[in-house]
Amino acid sequence: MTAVTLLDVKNLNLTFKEKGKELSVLEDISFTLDEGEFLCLVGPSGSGKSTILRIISGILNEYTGEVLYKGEPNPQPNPNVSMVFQSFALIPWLTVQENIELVLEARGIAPRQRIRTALRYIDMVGLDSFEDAYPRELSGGMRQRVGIARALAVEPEILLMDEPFSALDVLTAADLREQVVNLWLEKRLPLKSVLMVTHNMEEAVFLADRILVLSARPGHIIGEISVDLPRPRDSRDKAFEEILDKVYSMILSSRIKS
Amino acid sequence: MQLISAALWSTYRIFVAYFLSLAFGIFYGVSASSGPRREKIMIAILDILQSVPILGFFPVAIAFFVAVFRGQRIGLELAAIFLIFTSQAWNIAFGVYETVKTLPRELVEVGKAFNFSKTFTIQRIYLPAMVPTIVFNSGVSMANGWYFLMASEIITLGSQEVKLPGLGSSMMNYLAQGNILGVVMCIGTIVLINTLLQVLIFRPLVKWSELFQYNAVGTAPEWPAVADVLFDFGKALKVDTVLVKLVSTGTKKLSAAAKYVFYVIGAAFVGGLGYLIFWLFSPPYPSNILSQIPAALTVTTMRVVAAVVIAVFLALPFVIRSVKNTTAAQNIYSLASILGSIPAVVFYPPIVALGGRAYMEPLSILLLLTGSFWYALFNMSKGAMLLPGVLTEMAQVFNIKGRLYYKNILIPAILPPLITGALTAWGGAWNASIVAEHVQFGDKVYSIPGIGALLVQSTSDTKALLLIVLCMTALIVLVNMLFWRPWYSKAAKKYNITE
Ligand SMILES: Nc1ncnc2c1ncn2[C@@H]1O[C@H](COP(=O)(O)OP(=O)(O)OP(=O)(O)O)[C@@H](O)[C@H]1O
Ligand SMILES: [Mg+2]
Repeated sequence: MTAVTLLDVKNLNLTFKEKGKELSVLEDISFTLDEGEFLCLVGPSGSGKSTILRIISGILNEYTGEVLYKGEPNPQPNPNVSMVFQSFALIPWLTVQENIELVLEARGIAPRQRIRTALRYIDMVGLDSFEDAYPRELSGGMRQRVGIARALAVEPEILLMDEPFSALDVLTAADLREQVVNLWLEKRLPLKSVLMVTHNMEEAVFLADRILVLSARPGHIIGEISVDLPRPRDSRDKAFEEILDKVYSMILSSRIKS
Repeated sequence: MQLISAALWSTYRIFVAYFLSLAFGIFYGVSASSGPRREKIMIAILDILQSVPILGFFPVAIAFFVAVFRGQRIGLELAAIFLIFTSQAWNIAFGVYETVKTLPRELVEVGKAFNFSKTFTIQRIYLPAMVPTIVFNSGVSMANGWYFLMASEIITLGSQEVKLPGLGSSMMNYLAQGNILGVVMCIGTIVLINTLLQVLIFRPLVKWSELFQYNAVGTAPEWPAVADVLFDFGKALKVDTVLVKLVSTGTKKLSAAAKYVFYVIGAAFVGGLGYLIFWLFSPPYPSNILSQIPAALTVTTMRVVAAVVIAVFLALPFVIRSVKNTTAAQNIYSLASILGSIPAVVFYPPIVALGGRAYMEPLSILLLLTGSFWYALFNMSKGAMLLPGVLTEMAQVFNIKGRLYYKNILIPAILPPLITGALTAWGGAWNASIVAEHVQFGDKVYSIPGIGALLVQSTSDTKALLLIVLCMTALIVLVNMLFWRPWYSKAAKKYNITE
């Protein structure tokens, strides 16, 4: 089966200029995201993972290279793309519910529908009874869940997630992971593909169809690993462990080389 | 009855000027932060505007308004409002500029990632983010407006003196009559009005504005009734659309035509300035005054520096109290707003008369303090209040106390706001110096040498007056450029705690 290519990232290069010094962050990044695919991006800290998501979501637009969405230049911003921020990026003066309603309002959704949708996703991430709390009153993990709810609420086709489960306890993380995977598998929502950044290799193998491994800065793709395991996956599985080993050794070998 | 009507007149002028300052400040601040080239030019202009000693520049502005409206009452009224405006607007513009410049990157990114329209971003992100600065700086601006009340209500046109109805002119009348009770009643009214404003409006708003602070932690403040009322009013009057328009026009790139207009205005301005300078430096020279300027400037500079140093040191204990202590900071804010609004200038002549010439030197520094201390206090306690919690928590965890704590943590952390406080105090002290050095009480004149005294003595000679104001402004701007600004950017870079 050959799937439709949703995103086609070609030869991304990016250099930040600061105080006259040039900092090369991305080097010749090319990959595709197919329809129905769950893609994970792993790599050392500072390798430019967040930067790649920023470019795709339209936040950053000073780069060279191309990002194509369904064969056309990626619109900036692309309404079919939504994002979970690494640092949550919640608006401090809005409550949980208002934070989610805000992005719905920006899309011109009517007030009643807004409230209904917001409450549904708040419920989904397990924050019911916290809808009137302000971000500052929430723990880090709870804020991250608001960020996930917000990103899902706009019902995107492509979901970008920047370490979405890193601040959560093991159980909540597992629970939310499963919910996101189910949403994606069910195909009831417009949600087709997910591009996720993570530091947790096990999580990557658990979730991804394909894993891209980035080198240390300047980030370039040093390898790609397909995960052909049936879902739901079990981390104690032999095949699972083999793939996990492969990911680790790929990252290690890049360390040794550099 | 007369007092009430005077109070209403003054309040009306101050509020009209205040709303104009808000609109101007938001527009200017946003514009200035919307591009590196604009930033350079606009901030330099703002620096100069802020440095022109308002009191010295009053006669020029009045002459302009009176000429335009041919001496009609409306011209005088506008002149008064304009003068109050000049004491309020720059500080709000600076605040807005700084907020927009340091707006957390994520807030802007959310708007981009979720496809917010420009209007929507302004309305939901930029404007709310400005709330804390606007509310806080409004305290300074309000106090400032009241402090300059007298100067704005008594307008001298050549030999003729016109008094606009209001608390400032009433106070001067009472003073001239030797009616101390009357003066005290006026001051009491000013304190009362400002206390009411604090209790009913600004204090609840300051508490509430903490909600809009990016790095705040802990329980969120509740929405006070005032905020709701103001919101409803704002909606009814379509203030929100006006504000959005203001911001979006401010950030717009200039069209070719607008650029052309700007160049023409700029050229005309530079031409006018050039002509003015040419005129100033062409004979006949007021040579007796010219020769006095350097010495006079030096003496006054020494007084001003003394006042700034004292102001900063006096403010320090209050500032230390407001570190991570929102309630203390809010109390200081209210107190400074109320006390800072008292036009201390009015007490000055009788006190000087009482003490005599011998005590005038220390008394003049005291007066400079009333015009500068509040700035230092406002800015420094604002900075202390916003100190990130992790910093003080870290100090606690590692048991960093005493001298080490002050030297390595507290002072560096509040250095940027401390410099801002000192810089604004410096401007305020210069302003007050104009009334500090030359005093008339009854038929007696008390005077100490200085640029302020020189200025007051030469009001009848326009050329000399302009020269003095020019020299003063040049000195202030020069020191800002060569000392305060570099120091600030160095401190802000080195001790940047917002990121
Ligand atoms: N706006 C910016 N200006 C200058 N440098 C930047 C900017 N944004 C990111 N960088 C630099 O780009 C590099 C990559 O940053 P990025 O946030 O993409 O890394 P990351 O892979 O997400 O790291 P982490 O795993 O720690 O989140 C870093 O070295 C960072 O310092
Ligand atoms: Mg990152």
